[in-house]
Formats: sequence, structure tokens, C-alpha cells
Amino acid sequence: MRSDAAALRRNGDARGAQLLDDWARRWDAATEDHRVFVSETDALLAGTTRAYLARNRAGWATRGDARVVKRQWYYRRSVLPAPTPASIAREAGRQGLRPPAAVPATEAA
Amino acid sequence: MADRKRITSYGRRGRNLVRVFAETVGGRRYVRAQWSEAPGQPLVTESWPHSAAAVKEARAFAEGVADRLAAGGAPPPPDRTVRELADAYVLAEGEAWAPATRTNFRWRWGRFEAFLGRHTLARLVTTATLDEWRATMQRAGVATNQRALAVGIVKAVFRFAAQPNRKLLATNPLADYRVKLAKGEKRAEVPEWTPAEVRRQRAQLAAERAYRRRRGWRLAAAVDVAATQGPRQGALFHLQWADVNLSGATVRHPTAADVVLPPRSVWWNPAHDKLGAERVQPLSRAAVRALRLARVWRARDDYRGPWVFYRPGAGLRDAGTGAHSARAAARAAAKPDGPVTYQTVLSALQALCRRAVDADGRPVRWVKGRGFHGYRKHAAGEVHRLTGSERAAADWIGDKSIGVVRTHYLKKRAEEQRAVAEGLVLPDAPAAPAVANRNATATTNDTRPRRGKATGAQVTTNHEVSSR
Repeated sequence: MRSDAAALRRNGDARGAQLLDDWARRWDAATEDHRVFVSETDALLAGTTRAYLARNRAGWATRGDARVVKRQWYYRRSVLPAPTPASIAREAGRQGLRPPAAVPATEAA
Repeated sequence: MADRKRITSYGRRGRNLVRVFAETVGGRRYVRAQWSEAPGQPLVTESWPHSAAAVKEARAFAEGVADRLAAGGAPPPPDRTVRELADAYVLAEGEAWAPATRTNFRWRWGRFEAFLGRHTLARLVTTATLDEWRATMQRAGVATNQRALAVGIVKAVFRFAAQPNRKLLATNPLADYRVKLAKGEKRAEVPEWTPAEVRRQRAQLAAERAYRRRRGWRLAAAVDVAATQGPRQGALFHLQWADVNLSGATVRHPTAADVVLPPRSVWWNPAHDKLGAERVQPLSRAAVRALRLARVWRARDDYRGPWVFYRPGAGLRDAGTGAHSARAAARAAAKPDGPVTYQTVLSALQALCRRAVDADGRPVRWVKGRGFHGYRKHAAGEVHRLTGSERAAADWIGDKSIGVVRTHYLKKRAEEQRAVAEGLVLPDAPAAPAVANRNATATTNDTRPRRGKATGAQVTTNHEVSSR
């Protein structure tokens, strides 16, 4: 998509190129969690435990959500739970912001 | 009717009460935090799908809301996420970074994002967040040095964001944050190869006649060049024959037009330098010898490529010359030309350390992370020993910062400490104590000089001692 944008730009269609670039950027951001595989250490930092990873590893590997690279397990970020750290949740409350992991108000009403 | 179960509450009724409870609606269970911004105002509710982690988050969030209501604060508008801060930082500062610096930054920042999520607002990060993050990293088995470096990266980004001309953050919440290591926890300091260890390694290589072996000359030459010239490993293994002048004449570099190589010198190509810096360095005798022997192997293998430390098997003579088998020629043809990989030489070095045993049968200690960077430290230490100058040591290894060289390259050496200890002699020290018996009285004809006091005064003191 980005190469198409570059081609458009070379041919003088700056607006079309800009549209494609924006689209590519949004696609990139929206699918990042699905595309990125994180190491076991990063998965532990995200709030999981080794036991949880070991329990789910086989199923994830079958679906292509976990894989081994150089004897290290990597996990698709989208399958990992992402609990908010307590300090962040507390600060969100203090500053009058919405908690990061809360569901939309309409969904839980 | 919804099934509701109280979990906890914060604050006081009518002032800043925030309730946390679990509720089942339509068969789905939620944990909720509920409060009112002011008396008489409608209730505000935040909900999470019920789980242990959600209860923990809801409790912390409710506590924060209660704090805010007690202080009478109004909800501020949202601002930048942590990912946006990092992107702005890389955009502003990253242009001058070497590729390795960029990779390291992304990797360390990735750990921060893994912990709190990339969509988290930067203004929510506090010193408590870093404390929590460090504790999580420690539990996950992240090394002490890596934890400190990761925290340093985060602090740098927040410092950048709070600069008055950036205005990405109103204040820097991490300005005063200091990393305090727990008792007993120590940052791992990767040592240098000490002179004694280098001596043993080179003795082992000489005993094995490594320069005469097709599988041994690379390691021998690499050790000799690294231990005396102190290049970074990337620069060392990407050294090309065009970058080396082993002759006694000044020559011009064949491809880099403005580079002039004095007699017996080497040009470290900026393309393979960590910081992209180029420099011409005179070659030591050991390095000249090592490179000449490498040149012999190049001729013997009929290697036509540019690399000094070429990949084993690459460029071997073909079957037509009759030197090697057709199988070897086919293998060589299949192998693309390139420098030897770092992992190959590192494995050979590790094996050498196992073989280089001392008189007691102890091998040279292998420390993870020392590798060829340990020779860079060794070279800096040797230059410092010879010149006594940190500037000279930094210049020799091509590091701009004396502080970095002093902190990370110049190591305390047992041999030098021993020499200092042997050199420390008290001035005018007496040959041996004359008075062994404290009860003996001093005689007036004891005229040996006493340190710091006149003879007469010392006699008086001895009299005092004897009279106790």
C-alpha cells in the first residue's frame, strides 16, 4: 500500500498518496496487536504468569498464536491478557480519566 | 433485577464516596466503580468484565477517584499516550542514532509498553508506576543492568516531553526518580580479559600452532588484533583488506578517496562502526604480524573476496586447481562470501578458554557478555597502563567520552593493585621493633630516630609506658 502511495506521489497525485498513507498508518496501528509477537519475558511483563502461558501454549501454537524462534517462545500480543497496573488505574481515578481497561459504558449498561 | 454484591468503598458518604461492587446483568458479570462528581449530580459508573485483575484495577481506580473528589479536582482533558511520546522522541532525537541504538531503544521501550499498554496516557505514569514496573521486571527475570537501562530510557523520554519548548507534558513526574537497588543486588560488571588471561590464551594458541591451522588462524589473528587495537566486534569482523596498509609507504584508500593510510595502519570503516565514526589507527606489531599471517592464508585459500576474516570455506580453490576435492569446491561455491559470523568466533573463543588451563588444571573463566568486547577493555587498560592517560586510552579505542572509558573500560587490575601494595613503603620505617617488652624501661642511650617526634620526647613516652 505504501509503495502504491509512493507511485501515486511520483505521478503527481499527492492527495491520493496521502489517503493511501493514512490508510496504511491506520491499518498498521489497528492490527499491531495481531501482528506483533512478544517474547516470554515481555508476556510476563504484560501481567501473565508462566503457568498461564504453559497452560495455553499448545492451543495457541495450533492456532498460530505462539511459535518458537531459536528455542524461545513468542506469543501473539492479541491473545495475551493485558491487565492495567494498579498505579495507572489509581492515577486515572485521581485525574478524572477513564480507566484504560474499562468496557464502554453502553456495553455494560 | 441485577444481582449486586459489594466489594469495597472509598471516601465518605455525601462527600467523596466511591463504591466498588460486582453486578450481573443479562447473564454477564461485571465489576463496577460508581460515584457522583458532586452532591446531587447523577452517578458515574465505570465497568470491567469481572476477573481478579479487573477487581484489582477497579479498586485502585476507585481509590484514585476518591482522592480526586476529596481534593475537589475537576476532570482534565486527555493528552498524549506513551507511544506518542516515544514516537515524538524518536522523531526529534533518533536521526543521529546508530541503528543499534535505535534497536535498543525500541526493545527497552517495548518492555515499558508491554507493562502498561501503548494506549496508556503519559500523564498517568508516576514514580509508583516505575516502582511497579521494576518489580515486575525483577519477577520476570530481567537482569539488573537491563532494568536500570530500561528505566533510564523512560526517564529520558519523559524529560524530553516535559521540556518547555516541547509541551508534550505539563510536568515531568519522573524528574526525581532514582533507581535504588535492593540490598544484596548488584549490577553485573562485565570484566575485561586481564593481561594474565590474554597471556594464557595466546600461549595456548601458540602451543596449538593455531596460525598454521586452517580452522585456527582466524581466532588467533582476531585475538591479536582485538587485544592490541581494541576495535568493536562489528568493525573487527568487517575489516577488509582495502582498509589495511601493511606496507612501509603511505597509500590512498582504493575506494574511499579522501582516506590516506600511513605506513602500517588501519582504517576503521564508519559503515561498520556503532556510532558511524571513522578513524585511522596505527597498527601494533602484534596486529601487523597477525594480519600478515592472515594474508598468507588468503593466498593459500586463493580467496578473492574483500574480507580479512572471511567465512570458513568461502572462496576455497575450485576443483580445477587440484588443491581440494570436488565436494569441497561445491561446498565453497554454495557458501556465499562474507565475513565470519561473530557466533562462530565466539564459540571458538569459548572452546579456547576451556583448553587454556593453568598449572592447577583450571580453565580461563568464561564470563557471559565478555567475548570480544573484553579485548576492547583490555586494550584500553593496556594503553592506560603504558601512558597513565585516560584520554590516550579513549583515543586509542576511538571512544569520544573519557567518562565512559573510565567507568566501563578501565578496570581495576589485580596485578596493578599488587604492584601498588608492594610500592607502598612507609617513609623512614624502623627495621624492627627494638622494645619487645612493654615493661622494660627505655635507656637514655637509645638514640634511634623516632618517626614524627624528637628522640627525647620518645624517651619520655617510653618512660610513661613503663610507669603504667
